[in-house]
Amino acid sequence: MKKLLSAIAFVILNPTLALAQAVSRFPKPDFQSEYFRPSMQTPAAKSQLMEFLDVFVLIGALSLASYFALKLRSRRKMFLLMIFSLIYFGFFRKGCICPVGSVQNISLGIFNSGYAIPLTAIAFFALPLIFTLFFGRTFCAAVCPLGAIQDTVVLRPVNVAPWLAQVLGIFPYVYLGLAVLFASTGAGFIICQYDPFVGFFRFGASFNMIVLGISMLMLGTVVARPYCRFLCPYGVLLNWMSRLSKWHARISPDECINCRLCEESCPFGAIDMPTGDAQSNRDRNIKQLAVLFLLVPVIVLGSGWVVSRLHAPLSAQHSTVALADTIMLENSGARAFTTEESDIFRASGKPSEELFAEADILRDKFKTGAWVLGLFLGCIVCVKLIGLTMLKRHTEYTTNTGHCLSCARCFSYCPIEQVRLGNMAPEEAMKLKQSIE
Amino acid sequence: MNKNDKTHFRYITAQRIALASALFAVILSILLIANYIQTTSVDPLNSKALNQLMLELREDGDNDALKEQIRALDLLARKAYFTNQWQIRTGGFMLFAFVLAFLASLKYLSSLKRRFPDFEEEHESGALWEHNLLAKKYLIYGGLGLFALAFILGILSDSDLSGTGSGNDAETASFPSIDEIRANWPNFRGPGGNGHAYSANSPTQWDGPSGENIVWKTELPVDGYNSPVIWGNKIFLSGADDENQTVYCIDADTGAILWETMLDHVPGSPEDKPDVTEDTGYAAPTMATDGKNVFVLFGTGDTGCFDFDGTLIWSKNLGVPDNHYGHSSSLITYRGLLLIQYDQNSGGHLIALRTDSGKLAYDQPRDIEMSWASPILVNTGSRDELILNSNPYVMSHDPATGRELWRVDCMMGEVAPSLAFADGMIFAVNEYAVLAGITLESTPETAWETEDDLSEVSSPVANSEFVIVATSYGTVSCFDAKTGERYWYQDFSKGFYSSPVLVGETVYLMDMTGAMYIFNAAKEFNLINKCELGERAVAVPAFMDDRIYIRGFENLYCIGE
Repeated sequence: MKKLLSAIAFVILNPTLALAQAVSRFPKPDFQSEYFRPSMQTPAAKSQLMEFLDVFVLIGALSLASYFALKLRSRRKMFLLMIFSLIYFGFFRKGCICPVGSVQNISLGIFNSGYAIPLTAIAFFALPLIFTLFFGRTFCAAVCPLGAIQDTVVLRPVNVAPWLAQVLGIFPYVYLGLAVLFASTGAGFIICQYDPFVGFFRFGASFNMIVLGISMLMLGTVVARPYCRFLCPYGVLLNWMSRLSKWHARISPDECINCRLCEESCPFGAIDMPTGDAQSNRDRNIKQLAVLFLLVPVIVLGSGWVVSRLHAPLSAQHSTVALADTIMLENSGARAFTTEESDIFRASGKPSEELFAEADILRDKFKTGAWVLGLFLGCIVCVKLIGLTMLKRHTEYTTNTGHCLSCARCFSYCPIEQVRLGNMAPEEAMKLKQSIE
Repeated sequence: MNKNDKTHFRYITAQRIALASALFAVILSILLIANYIQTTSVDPLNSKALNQLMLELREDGDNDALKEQIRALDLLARKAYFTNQWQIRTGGFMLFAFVLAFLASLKYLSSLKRRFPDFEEEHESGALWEHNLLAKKYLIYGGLGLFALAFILGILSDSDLSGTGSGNDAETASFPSIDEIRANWPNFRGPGGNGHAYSANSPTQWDGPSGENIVWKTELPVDGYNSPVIWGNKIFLSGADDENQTVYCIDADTGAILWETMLDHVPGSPEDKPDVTEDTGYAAPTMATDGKNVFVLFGTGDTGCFDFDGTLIWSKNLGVPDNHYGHSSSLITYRGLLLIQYDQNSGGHLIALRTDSGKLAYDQPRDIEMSWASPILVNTGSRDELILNSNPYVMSHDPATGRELWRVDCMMGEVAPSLAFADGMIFAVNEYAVLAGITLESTPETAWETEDDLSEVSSPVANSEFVIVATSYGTVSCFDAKTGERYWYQDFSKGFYSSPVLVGETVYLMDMTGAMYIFNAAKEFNLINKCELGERAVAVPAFMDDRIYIRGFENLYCIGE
């Protein structure tokens, strides 16, 4: 039955391609009568009211999410809030503006004085971070539409091996670095360009993005929230803020009794388990740590240098640089044909020298940016390696403050929580623990 | 009903909802896919019935019943199409609803399941340490792998650009704009080789023997039949004899010879020069310039590129032309390419060399016999075309790639005159063949032909109304560009080898004695003036900056007020 339903799910999700590919092929009729075709008119500018309303809704949703997660500790309420956020921020507001993409607005605003960041973009960037700093990643659990759409398809999650999760955990940093680099140089907003879910919110996207979105959702049925855990660039910032959070969701409302019942409750692998007292091969670990610290400058500088070598292909993603490269290839005869872009450029009458000068400035920016990106990634790798070498001791089952999304899934597994809810007597909880032991 | 019974009931209900919604979703999916396939395979505006009726209407344009029938069928087709669109849209929303119901019920079913660890297995506290070690290992390997990949990509992307020069090079390639080209005289018969000059006030009175309006006159160091090309204040000419091949540069303001350079020691150059006739020589092809360098081709197949100071940039031999009179097709440049019409007894070629290096960009074989004409390079409305006159075809090529665009079979004999282009039409002529007007709308084809007064050497010139043809036996004719109707013809005592040049509405045409006839392009012949040069001349004059530069057999003249 379950396999049948899974197969059916596969078949159902594919025909949405048909919708996405619907193309209007009917031109306007060629009227022979005296029909007067009205002239095109520009509609009035959209009111900004909705954008400010979005900010208020965001604040409200974040507040409620924090309240539901920390105070009421209710998974049901978190789920319902998540559905609301999916409908409002996703389908109603069509996924824009979202905090995930706002990173790029901030980057562009910092490095381009000609760009005026909308206040709503600043609000969408800052508010989730502020709430996370106090209450943990409640934004991820119940407010982010990208997380919400993935959460709705979590059906049979499997555990991703911790070592694999650690390795894949590098990619959000790479994505963040690239997004900041491209946004700050004006090359584009890649987070928005490659958002796999916005096509669903808008009922239309390119073929490739629809396929990517469907693939991501299908993967999400077995690997919980793959985009959030292994790609989301904003998640990097939320991770950092959450580690410093003043109040964070805890599995047990009181002291943990180490009953193990919550061990498999988290589909995101965000529960830190007791590590025991002994650390094997302590001396070897200390040596490794010492070597690592010595290698930090090598790794960081090496990473900076290698990524800086990529400044040419990275800068080629900028339309001005790509056009300059095209014109240069055509001028030198290395390419025997012209492109539409180069034809349009030549028809504009703008001197090629001006274009080449602009491209040179951009390439220099990319050189610097690539160095910074490389240094950043080098630092991250070093921090990860050091963190993996230093084993943090846990004596009870706790939420990993960086990775935990505060979704409240694990609360109901805890006998102490059941005691708090009045579903179980305290003695029963202790008996349960003993019976498991 | 107790709690367990309620849960069980909800479980069963959710299961059934999941199944039912899945079934409906599958059925709807199949219907939508079938609908989509049907929509994409049928083009409502190109139905056979509609097309057939449209064809009938073309032949019977006043048939009102037919018009009504077409309108009705068209309306039906549009209704069907938009109904289809509505079906797809509605079906899509319904599918979405069923998928949503399916997912929601599956979600509910999964929420009822709890995940517990296997209590038989003890939780190993050391397992975390093992995972950390593995993670470190793969992080390091992965990091090194990405490191190596990034390094290789970095090197490869640098080398891709190094061959073409990075943006930091002091000189970057760029093409002259159309205005720059028109402000100069860069090749045979002027910009594009079309015989049009863009000077505002060309002189209409001079006299070579007395020196009236002769700004300067410079003796030419080496003979040749090529015409002057000019860029800025530099005039370029070539000359050759049995011993030497020479390129020289003359100051357009003073007539002083700025430099004179020989093209020799060309790799592949033949030891024995090919036989050529006296009236062709080895320096018949006119040079070409792109504003940065100047290019030359001699009858030996030697071609070279010089900068404006006379320094040789590159040279190569194209192979000795198999040409019983001697090679005479002139050069033209296009966006970093030197284009050479290299038509010979053994077959035709359109050759393109990169102007910066002389490397071959393309060599397009041409399915033609011999030709001595030169190409014209014009924008025919939607694209640039390089159009060549030859036997038996007038053939058009994409100048960037050499790819043949179209051909029209209308020529015969030994073709020497080049083409003319105006207002969407090409004009081709050859003695013992025809004067043809070729229209370029949709499919190029001959619009009209006439056999009156055909030229054997001089190329025609045209505007939107008139085509002017001059013959070697002294006849000058004016034809209607659209119909080929001859408006007038004039007999002159001397023949014409030089081609007429159109300056606005005024035609400048020089006979073999060097006498320039200046007349209007009009339905009636109206001679404005006749100006003597004082020596024989067959080259095409160059027009630039209100001056005319004429190459006589012995001297180069600058004419101006």
